[in-house]
Amino acid sequence: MLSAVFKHELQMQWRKPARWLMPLGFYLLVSTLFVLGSAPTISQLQSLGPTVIWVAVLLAVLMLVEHLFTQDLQNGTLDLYMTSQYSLSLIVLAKLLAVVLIILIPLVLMTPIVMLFFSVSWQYVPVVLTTVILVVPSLLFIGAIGAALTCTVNRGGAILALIVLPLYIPVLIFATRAIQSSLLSLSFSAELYFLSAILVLSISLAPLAISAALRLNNQ
Amino acid sequence: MNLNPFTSQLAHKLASPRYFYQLSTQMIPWFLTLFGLTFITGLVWGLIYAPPDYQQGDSYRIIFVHVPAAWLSLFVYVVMAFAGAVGLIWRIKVTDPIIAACAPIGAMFTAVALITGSLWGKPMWGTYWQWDARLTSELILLFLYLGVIGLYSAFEDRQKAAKAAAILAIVGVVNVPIIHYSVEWWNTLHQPATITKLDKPSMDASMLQPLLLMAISFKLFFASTLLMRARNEVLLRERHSRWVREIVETAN
Repeated sequence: MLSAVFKHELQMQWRKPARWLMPLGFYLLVSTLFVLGSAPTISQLQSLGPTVIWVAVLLAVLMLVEHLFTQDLQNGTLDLYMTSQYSLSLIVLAKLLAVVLIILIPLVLMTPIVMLFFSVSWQYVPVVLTTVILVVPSLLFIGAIGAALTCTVNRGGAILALIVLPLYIPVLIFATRAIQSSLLSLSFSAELYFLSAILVLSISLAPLAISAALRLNNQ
Repeated sequence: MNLNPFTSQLAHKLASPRYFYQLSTQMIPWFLTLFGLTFITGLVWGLIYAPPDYQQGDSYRIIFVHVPAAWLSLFVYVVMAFAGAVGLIWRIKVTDPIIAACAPIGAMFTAVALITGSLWGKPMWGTYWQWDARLTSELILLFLYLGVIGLYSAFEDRQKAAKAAAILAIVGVVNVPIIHYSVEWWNTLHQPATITKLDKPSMDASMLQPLLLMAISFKLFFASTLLMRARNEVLLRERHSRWVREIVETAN
């Protein structure tokens, strides 16, 4: 059942590529806007880079997350999930892992290009990609709590941003910190440990909150 | 759950909106009177009789408002999350009005702490706003409150709204320490100590006593406004029941 949910979600996302392509396009666009809105000297771009990359990823994930549960709620998939013998939290976990896979691969492929915009040297690609891999799942799981809470609300997007963005602050801080430290050739392992801790916490605890919120909205 | 007869009876009673209304109506005048007494005493004591600080002169006196408000800003959030957890676990209706009442009060205390802090910062630090770790986490706490208020008001159904707000408050309470430490981390690495935060010397009793009195007074204020708001919310939710109609009729 859980692998079926995983596959189903992969198929659904694959058949509607606009859902995850749009946030990716948004990511590129926001990064470009930051470059165009600042004086393009190389040193400035380099110091701006990590921040912009992370703010753009944050907003892109928020965009992806917004309609994560609306369809399941409308077409009755959620009812089936709730009546199945598996706990809703586990099903949510399977579903979200599929979404992580869908969004993480293109993000990993695109981030080096965005780093090019900010003339961040290739040698930092591994660090940046490590943070991307550690952080995007956390962002998705935390964002999904907000999406589950607001999925029956009319025009929930603004409220979603209001409730989710403050929760993203620790992740933003540690992720940009890690990249900036590595740019200054300082040690950044502490930041990565923190990011991993947040990842573990969000993957293990967020599904509980999400399933509670979904039950509430599907009454 | 095994409760002895008395506790279970009390729990049942407390869970009834009508009993909550009666109890809060009895308690509010007490809380308000005690608040008035402690507030006036604390204010006069703190603003007039407490000695001026040897470094900051009289401008330190803002702590008699600032510190109790800052303490409460976090306390109210924890109360809200606790009420939310109780409501979700035992499915009690009576915690819903408490959650609804906590959010705006807590946001107000957070705003008061931020505003008084920045007013104090101007003469002391030379600027109204400094990205100091504590100030920043207080600002983020305000955002968390705004999120709860926004989510609560987005639902038409009040019961759903309270439950959604409860879930968000619990998620927030888990996040508050993480946010606090991450911001502290960010600040210490990001900014060299250009502005040395005033080391908190152990406070003299002549200042500490009025401060504690003000803290108690603010807590009493919180308790009375919480009960007043929750009582209104109970009336609104139960407006179709007979006991509410009786109250309204006798009031007219």
